[in-house]
Amino acid sequence: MLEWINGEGPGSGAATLALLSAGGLIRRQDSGPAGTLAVVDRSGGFYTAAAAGLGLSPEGILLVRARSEGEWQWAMEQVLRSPAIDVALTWAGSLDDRVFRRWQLAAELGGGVGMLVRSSEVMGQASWASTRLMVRGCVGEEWAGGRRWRVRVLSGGVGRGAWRAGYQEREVMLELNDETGGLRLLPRLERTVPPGVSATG
Amino acid sequence: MVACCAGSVSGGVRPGMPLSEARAVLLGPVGAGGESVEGLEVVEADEEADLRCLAEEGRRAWRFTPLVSVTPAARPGQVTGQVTGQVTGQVTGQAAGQAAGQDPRSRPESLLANITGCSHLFGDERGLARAMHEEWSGRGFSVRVAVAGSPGTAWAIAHSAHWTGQPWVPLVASPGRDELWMRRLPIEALALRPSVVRSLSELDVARVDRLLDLPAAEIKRRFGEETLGRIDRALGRWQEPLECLPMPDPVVACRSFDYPVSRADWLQEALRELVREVACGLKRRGRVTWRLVCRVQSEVSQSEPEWVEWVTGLVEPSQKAEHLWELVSLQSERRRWPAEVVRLEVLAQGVVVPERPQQTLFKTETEYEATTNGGVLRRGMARLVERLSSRLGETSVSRPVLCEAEVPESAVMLVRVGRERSVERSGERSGERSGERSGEEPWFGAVTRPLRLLEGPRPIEVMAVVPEGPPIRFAWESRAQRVVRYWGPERIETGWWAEGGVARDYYRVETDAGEWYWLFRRRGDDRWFVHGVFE
Repeated sequence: MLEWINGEGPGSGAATLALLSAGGLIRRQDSGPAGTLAVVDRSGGFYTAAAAGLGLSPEGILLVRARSEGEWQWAMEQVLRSPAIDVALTWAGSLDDRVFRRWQLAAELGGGVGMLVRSSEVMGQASWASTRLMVRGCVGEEWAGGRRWRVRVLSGGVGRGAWRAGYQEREVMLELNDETGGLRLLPRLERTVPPGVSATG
Repeated sequence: MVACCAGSVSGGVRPGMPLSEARAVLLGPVGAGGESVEGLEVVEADEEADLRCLAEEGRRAWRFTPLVSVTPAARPGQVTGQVTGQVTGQVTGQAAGQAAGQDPRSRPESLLANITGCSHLFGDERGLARAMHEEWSGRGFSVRVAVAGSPGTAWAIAHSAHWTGQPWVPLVASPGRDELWMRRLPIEALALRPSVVRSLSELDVARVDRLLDLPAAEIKRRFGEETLGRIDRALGRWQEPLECLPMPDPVVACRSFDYPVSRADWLQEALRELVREVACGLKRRGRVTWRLVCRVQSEVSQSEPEWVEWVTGLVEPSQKAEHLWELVSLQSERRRWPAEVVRLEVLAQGVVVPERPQQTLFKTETEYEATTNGGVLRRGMARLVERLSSRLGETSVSRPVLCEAEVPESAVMLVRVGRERSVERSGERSGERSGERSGEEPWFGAVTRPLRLLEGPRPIEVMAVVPEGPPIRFAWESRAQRVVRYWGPERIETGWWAEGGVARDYYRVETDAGEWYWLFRRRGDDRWFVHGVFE
């Protein structure tokens, strides 16, 4: 289970990054057809056209609408438990600890990845997610197109072996290019350059 | 010999030959070894088994039309395999060789299908003929399909394609052109007696047009009235009745209570038994179902009994009692039992023949897929969708399809899982009109559309420096937002002829908190709305 927490309001972009990483997980299966992303949506406002803009094929998206809290919890557990689903994404406010634990066990059983997009109000609550990430939008930076975020690892590890992020690397900056749709990790030098000054001096 | 394989035909063997002659042609003189000669397999013709098989194939054709007829009962020594039908009338196809006989039409090798009023479901008559061809050729049959205005003409066109060596593609005679088609065909297409065909050949009458040029009285005098009747039947000059395969009795189980029952656990148990009975009925008939309909009759007032109906749909047809009950019970969890129930009924709808079991030593591609990871995943997805649909409702589980629409609200169409193919098919037919673009790249940038589109645009208070200029402040959900950057305006406007047309100037805005929103100013009254959040 993976938690993406919006640092500010809902427009901080945590869901965008969650979808981009989900797209990467689905496409990673080189040997066979692309996997399936299940979006369990309570409010019914998930806009697939935007997901397609981020590189996710609509054919690989299963949209599940739940009307009540009980149905939503049950539906999320079902998709996490299913081996046919590679990534399950939902938006979760405060969540009962037992429900979260059930989801985590279901994800282990199904073998997929569960992603929760949450608000910063849940920061103090216990979590069964293996990794918690805080997403904040970068404000007013001097670049033309695209969008930049600071992503901070609040708990859990990121990366493997020598690439595993150390303590000082627990915050990274990411940029989404509007034209190419590519997401890249900005180097530290570029991040520290003051606005208006080019990296080459 | 009544039929032979394509290899034998290429070796010079023809149906109708004595078996000894066929052996001699293929392998040379036969020794005293008996029936079996190395490399040649001889199987005794089993007319009844062929008829049963053909009827089974006819039931498969119910997918295309409910009116399917198997050719009349054959006499001994007249077996081969074919499939036939008709459109504004019927359709026809065929498989192997042919045998001599009184009436070639009586061989159990053709299916005649009345497809009147069904072709639009497949686009047109050609689409239907193509779908029929794929249905059988995909399962390893050699099949010819022809569409014509009458059963006789459809049969003739399908069989003549075989005689004239035309490719195995569906043939469709346009309405009113049946006789034109017939005139170009060999006289064998008229399904005449072999002796009549021989006599006509001696007279150099090889094509139907030559025969039709002869006076009818002369034909009647020389070849008998029966020959004229067969010519009229082939040309569709009289309404040929089709004896259609009877539709099977519905697979249904019901229970009536002596007294009205209101206890949910009792009703649940009774329902479970009924589902089990239906599953047994399906198993007994060797069928699977796409849908279970549970009907509950309550007797709130004596005069007006009330019926409630619950439908449970499946993504893959099944006959397993446990599986069917799981789906029905999931649905009954979200339904409330009516009070005073007096009768329960469970009906299987969409009852079909299951996919054929393996018939070859080595697995086909489909069978291989069923045992591999892809097959497991496909079945897993079907089970998941069935469970979700049963509990949440069929419309709650969908796949999105992108549409090239001007208005953002119409850019995505939700399609029930399992119906994607029909949507794509209708998209192919309607072409540009619907503007569907399933599976294609989007026509906008990665960050130009919000991930959450509000159900309807919400009016907001916006401060702008200049009229018709970009926003610099706005209030959203009781929070004041200061705009740091913006992109736009992106004008989205429908034509004046469009019903409920829109004229909007959209802005992507970034607030001082690093959040992104999608706002628009409605042209005309300059009111501002928030339409989406870049979550």
